[in-house]
Amino acid sequence: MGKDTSELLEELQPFINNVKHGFYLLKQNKLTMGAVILAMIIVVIGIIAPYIVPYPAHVVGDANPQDKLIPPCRKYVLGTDELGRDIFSRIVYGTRISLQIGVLAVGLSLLIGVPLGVIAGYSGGLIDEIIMRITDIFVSFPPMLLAMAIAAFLGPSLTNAMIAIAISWWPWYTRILRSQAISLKERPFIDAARAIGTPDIKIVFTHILPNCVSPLIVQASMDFGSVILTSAALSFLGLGAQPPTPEWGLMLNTSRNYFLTAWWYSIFPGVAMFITVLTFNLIGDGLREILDPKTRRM
Amino acid sequence: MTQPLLEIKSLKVNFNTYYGLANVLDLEHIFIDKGETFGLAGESGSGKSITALSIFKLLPCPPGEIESGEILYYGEDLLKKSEKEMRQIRGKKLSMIFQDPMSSLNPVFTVGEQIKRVVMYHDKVTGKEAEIRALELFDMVKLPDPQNTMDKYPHELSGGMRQRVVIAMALSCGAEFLIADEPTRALDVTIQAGVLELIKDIKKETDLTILFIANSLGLISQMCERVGLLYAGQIVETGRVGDVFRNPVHPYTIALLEAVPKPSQKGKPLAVTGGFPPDPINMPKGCRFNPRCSKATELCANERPEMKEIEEGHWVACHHQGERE
Amino acid sequence: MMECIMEVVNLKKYFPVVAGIRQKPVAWVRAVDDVTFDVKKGEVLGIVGESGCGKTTLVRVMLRLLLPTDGEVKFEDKDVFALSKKALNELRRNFQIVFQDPFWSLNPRMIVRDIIGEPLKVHTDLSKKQLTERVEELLELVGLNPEHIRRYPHEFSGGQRQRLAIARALALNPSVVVLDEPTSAVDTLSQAQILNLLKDLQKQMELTYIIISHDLGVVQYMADRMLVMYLGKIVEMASTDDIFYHSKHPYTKALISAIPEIEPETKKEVIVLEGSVPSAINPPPGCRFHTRCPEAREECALAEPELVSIGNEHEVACFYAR
Repeated sequence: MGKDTSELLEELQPFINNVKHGFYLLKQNKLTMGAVILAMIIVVIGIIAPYIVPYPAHVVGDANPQDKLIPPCRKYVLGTDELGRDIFSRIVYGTRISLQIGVLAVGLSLLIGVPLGVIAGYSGGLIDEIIMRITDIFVSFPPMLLAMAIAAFLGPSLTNAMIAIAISWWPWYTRILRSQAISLKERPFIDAARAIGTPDIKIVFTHILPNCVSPLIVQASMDFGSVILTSAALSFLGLGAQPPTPEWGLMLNTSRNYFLTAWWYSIFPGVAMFITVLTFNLIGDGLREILDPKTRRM
Repeated sequence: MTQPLLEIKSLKVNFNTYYGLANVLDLEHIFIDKGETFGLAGESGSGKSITALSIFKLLPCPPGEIESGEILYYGEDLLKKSEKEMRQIRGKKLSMIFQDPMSSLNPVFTVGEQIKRVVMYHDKVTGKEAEIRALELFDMVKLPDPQNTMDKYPHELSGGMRQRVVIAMALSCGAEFLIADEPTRALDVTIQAGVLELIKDIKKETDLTILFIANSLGLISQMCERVGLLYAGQIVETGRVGDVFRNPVHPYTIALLEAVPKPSQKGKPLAVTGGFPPDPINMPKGCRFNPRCSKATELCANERPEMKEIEEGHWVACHHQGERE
Repeated sequence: MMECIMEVVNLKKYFPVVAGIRQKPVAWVRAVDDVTFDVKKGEVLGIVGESGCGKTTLVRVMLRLLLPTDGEVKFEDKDVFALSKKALNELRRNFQIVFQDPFWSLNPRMIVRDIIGEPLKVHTDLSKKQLTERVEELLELVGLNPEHIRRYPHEFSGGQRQRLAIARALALNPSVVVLDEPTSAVDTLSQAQILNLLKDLQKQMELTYIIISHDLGVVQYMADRMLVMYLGKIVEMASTDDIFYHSKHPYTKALISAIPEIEPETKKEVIVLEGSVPSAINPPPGCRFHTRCPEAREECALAEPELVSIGNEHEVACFYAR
């Protein structure tokens, strides 16, 4: 038993060293470090949200009409909305939802975009042309419009919003991956793999993809924030999350009607969104500096 | 004894890295007289380029740091100068050419434009005057058809021509000291021959002082009068090229000369020095070459050898010099 | 008379220069233009020439990393371009290459064990344990510490990475190994170690080498025979001694004269060639070298000289070689 664990540890050693080196570089950039810590806090909040919200009932939508539109006070830290629900609880729970959106929408985009990009880049020729033309078609639609059309077609719901976002987002990943694959194709180690007789599929998986990870991570981190914004926009337009879901965009939508009288209703969800999106943007930026060999510090 | 044009004293340069503090340069004393071509020979990682960048105060700090030392240009310490003062010196008094001419030239401007800008910045002349000067310079570096070449972009020229443009730019404002950091590394052998001939001709005409950095001893021998051998950031042997290459004393110099394949060795294994250059973070105590040296003793492992003059102008840093096999 | 292990016959490789919407070829880069030579079993054949001469393209076509425009390459009498999938696999086992760039010729994201083990994974079905053992053997063979098997390439020096590349090339016991500038990116002392290693391995494993290098000193030391290329053609082919001491082609002579000698006494006459290498799309008419040749005459612009034997296995492509 002991031998197996020590063997496993040995196997993971190179990976662990990489991660350690990554943290060292991270520490050098205080802003990114701060963003990473904040992001971790946000994720933790998202995970434990159901357990920490003061008014779990308000989250799912039980109305509390007698307490409607109360400004921030002792009882309701960030005030209540038009149905008397605690805004703080709904914002905290909204973190969980926004993170889910980010992960699922970006995840789905990656799932579609990455294989297409790699295949296009590595194969070249006709396959490349076909894939790129399809990509061009999707790219020329304004993302919001496409997402709106799809959401309108499939019916408004959070899940459909996520699908819509993924469908409009994947072409960007395809382009990134394709350009990476094209530049990697020229590297001697790819020639070496072909000279060894490694089949193309294997070359793509073991040689090309692992070397494409860096720009992908950077883009995905930044997209995390953008996706949350887009989903909020869709909800704002009524095409995404539907009431009573405590999604930030939806809250912003409803708060419009009470904008002048209940300032807390629009400000706080807005701030929450701002912080989250900013955090992920900073992470993406910081990661780019770390992962790009040219700007990478020793 | 006239003052040397350039003198480096006790220069220590470090780099801050993930793995620790790397001591990359530890030069006791280098001097270059006016009109001389001094060769700095060493392998990659020995500190040659860092020396050049330090002289120019172009070292990226952080992560680099100049711990101590002086770089004297006619007696004035360059390390004490402000960035503004250095900008007046760079290009005008001291100049540098690098190994890859493609990276030294801005790809979006024509070469004529680039050289005119340099002239206009330093000599404060008008565009027309700069153009005339540029044509003169292109003529000096023997570029065919200077008028047309002026309007070409760097990628439209061959490697050899680009390097000539770079040389022209470096000498455009009358610099009297040129650092050539492996200028022909990226060039083919026959083109290299042409560029080196050019440098030699220019030197004859203008009495240029040159610090020639290379890792090929053959190049150093052909181009330089004196040489300094750099190992792990330290000079291990220095002197006139003839003296050093004919009577090498330091085991590293000897190893280098033996490692170069010669026709007489055909069929026989090359005399090989095992091991690898030391890790700059964990430099050996004492003589840095001692882990690989066949003559090393306990003294070598503990004490850094001093530079001693063993014949006129020929200095060696080795505890066992003079003990020939 | 050594037996022949590879034959290259009238090999041509042209790359199209395309233009227009339809991407039609408007011109051709004649990278390799009608090259013929053999490789003898057990020898070291050196190929020299400057950038643009076609030597890199030549070996890539020989390795079947590129398909030729015309001509044949035979490995042990079999046509390399007509091989079945199975036979191609056999070829790959026997004919390997060590690239010049010690950093980018190894996947920076793979550990040493996987890099060197790749050929073994592709061609054999060794168990994980057996593979690890074999990789450790190979590391020792090239003078590296087997304990470093889980390191990444960037944790090694240039010379060590080159040894990793050599270990990978030898993993399947090939018969011919192409060394594409094996020591250009490596220091003098490491170079000596690597050259000695290559010579030892050649004896141990009965290898045939094709070595490409711009460093003529290295080629002179390693190679038995040499061919000199210029703009896609072979201009001279002979034993190494003949090339260095009895060269007949003006280009070869210029190349040899340009080698910087360490011996301070030898201030030799350097033949400086005028102009730069012409474009391979539109090579000069007649002899391709005539535009830069110090010995060119009128006739040289009119017809292309063939590679002819002048005795003693010495071939030259020049009308006036004597």
